[in-house]
Amino acid sequence: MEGCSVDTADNGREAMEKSNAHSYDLALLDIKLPDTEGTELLKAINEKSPGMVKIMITGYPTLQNAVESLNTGADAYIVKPVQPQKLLSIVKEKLMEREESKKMSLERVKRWIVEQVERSTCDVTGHRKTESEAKNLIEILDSYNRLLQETNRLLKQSNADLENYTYVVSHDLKAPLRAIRSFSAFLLEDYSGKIDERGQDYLNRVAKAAENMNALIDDLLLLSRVGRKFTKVERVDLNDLLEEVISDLKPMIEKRNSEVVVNELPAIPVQRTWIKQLFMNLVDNGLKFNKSETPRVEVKCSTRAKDHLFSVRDNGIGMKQQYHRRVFNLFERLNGKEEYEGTGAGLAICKKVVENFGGRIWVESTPGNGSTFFFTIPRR
Amino acid sequence: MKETSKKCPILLVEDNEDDVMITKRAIEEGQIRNNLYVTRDGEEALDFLRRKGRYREAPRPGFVLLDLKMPKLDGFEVLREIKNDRDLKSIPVVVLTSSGRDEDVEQAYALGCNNYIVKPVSFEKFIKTVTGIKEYWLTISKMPAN
Repeated sequence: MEGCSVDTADNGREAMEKSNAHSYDLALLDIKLPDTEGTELLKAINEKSPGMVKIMITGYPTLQNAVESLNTGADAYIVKPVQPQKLLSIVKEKLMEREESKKMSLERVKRWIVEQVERSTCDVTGHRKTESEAKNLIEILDSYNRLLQETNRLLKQSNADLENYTYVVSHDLKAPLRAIRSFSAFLLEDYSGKIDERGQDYLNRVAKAAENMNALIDDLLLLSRVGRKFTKVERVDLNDLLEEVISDLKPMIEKRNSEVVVNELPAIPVQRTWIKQLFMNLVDNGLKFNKSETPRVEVKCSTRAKDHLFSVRDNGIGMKQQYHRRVFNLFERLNGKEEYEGTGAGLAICKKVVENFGGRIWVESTPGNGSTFFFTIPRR
Repeated sequence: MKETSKKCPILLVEDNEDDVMITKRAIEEGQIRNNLYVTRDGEEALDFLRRKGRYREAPRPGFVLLDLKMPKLDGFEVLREIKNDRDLKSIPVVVLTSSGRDEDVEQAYALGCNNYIVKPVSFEKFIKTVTGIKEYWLTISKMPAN
């Protein structure tokens, strides 16, 4: 490789000394070293320079080695015998990745694995492999598979951490918000004689903004609660559930002279809180984003081989094709706040609920012709 | 009953000064005339309840309003101490906190809190909350005589 210089170390101690003295871009580490375990060395190097690309090489691929290496910060895990071309391509790729971003995305890991597998299978068709080589290949595939599983687990973990973080932070944001609202209210109450009209308008705006922020935080909280524990799966008769939803929305339904039609629905094992939230948001949206004289929402379900397909159809304002995906983004609003109330989190919450059930959600709609929201829930 | 409960003092354990002011005002506007004592962390709260140090003359509160997030001893630890103390455990503890986290609610009840209330963000609701607490703990509930 052009422009690269290579340094070598015969054992762990020498490697540590050298990596303390120099700053390297990449390290190739054998997992078996004379004076220490390769994973120990990896750990030490990773602590000192987490940004360095670290590639583990092993003649003894085991699950434990692969997992341990990955957990300790290895960027790749190569099984001996090492083919120079293969190693070079991995090194190049890893260095490039490091340039692009310090973090490896799951997509890239996947692509890399697929490439490796394709390369290996080309070898098989190219020339007859000995039995031991074939066995080696299976082991390589095996360890790639485990690597992928491990990456998946780590991603899930970091996702959960992130959600937990949102959850904690959202609660902490409430205290200062309460202070803003309370003290602006005290000012208005105690000093109304001393504050002129404009000053009072400012204070009212402060209070209103705090109220909006409160609604946003509540929705963030709700969103980060989806998928957390504390909600158990139970058998829910969706006909009863929809009756509940309709009764909760009664004031709105009566005020707008609306109609909610529910066709025969199944009873399914599901987390009650979240399925209710889902239908609540969808029915509410159908009635809210609706300029018809008689707003109408219809709920249907067809049970298929592997899942239940639900639809919530309205005769509302509808939306252009280009928004069909965007509506599910968090705090995405297609319409002005003045015209339609809300934070823009409703459909993001729906999406997360459905995906947590293992299903899919989408919308079919054209402006002026209403929208139909579809979602699936796998059968158990 | 009403006469005695009116006099029984309330202990507020709260480190956030804003929240102390807000709670005081809510108590005032909610026409609650019981004496309100404030301690600013968990250690102080236990000293107050056990009449230690500068709290030798402290009265026994009718109930405790307890925040969870505090320096030194946090609310959970205070709660655990109170509920493990033979003399103190009959004092009702109302957790009054910003956090509606499921874990916090669960842990607080597991430690024996009598009531868990999430502080509302709006002041009008805060007054309602405080008067609600008062109604329940000072009027409706029959408490053991000390």
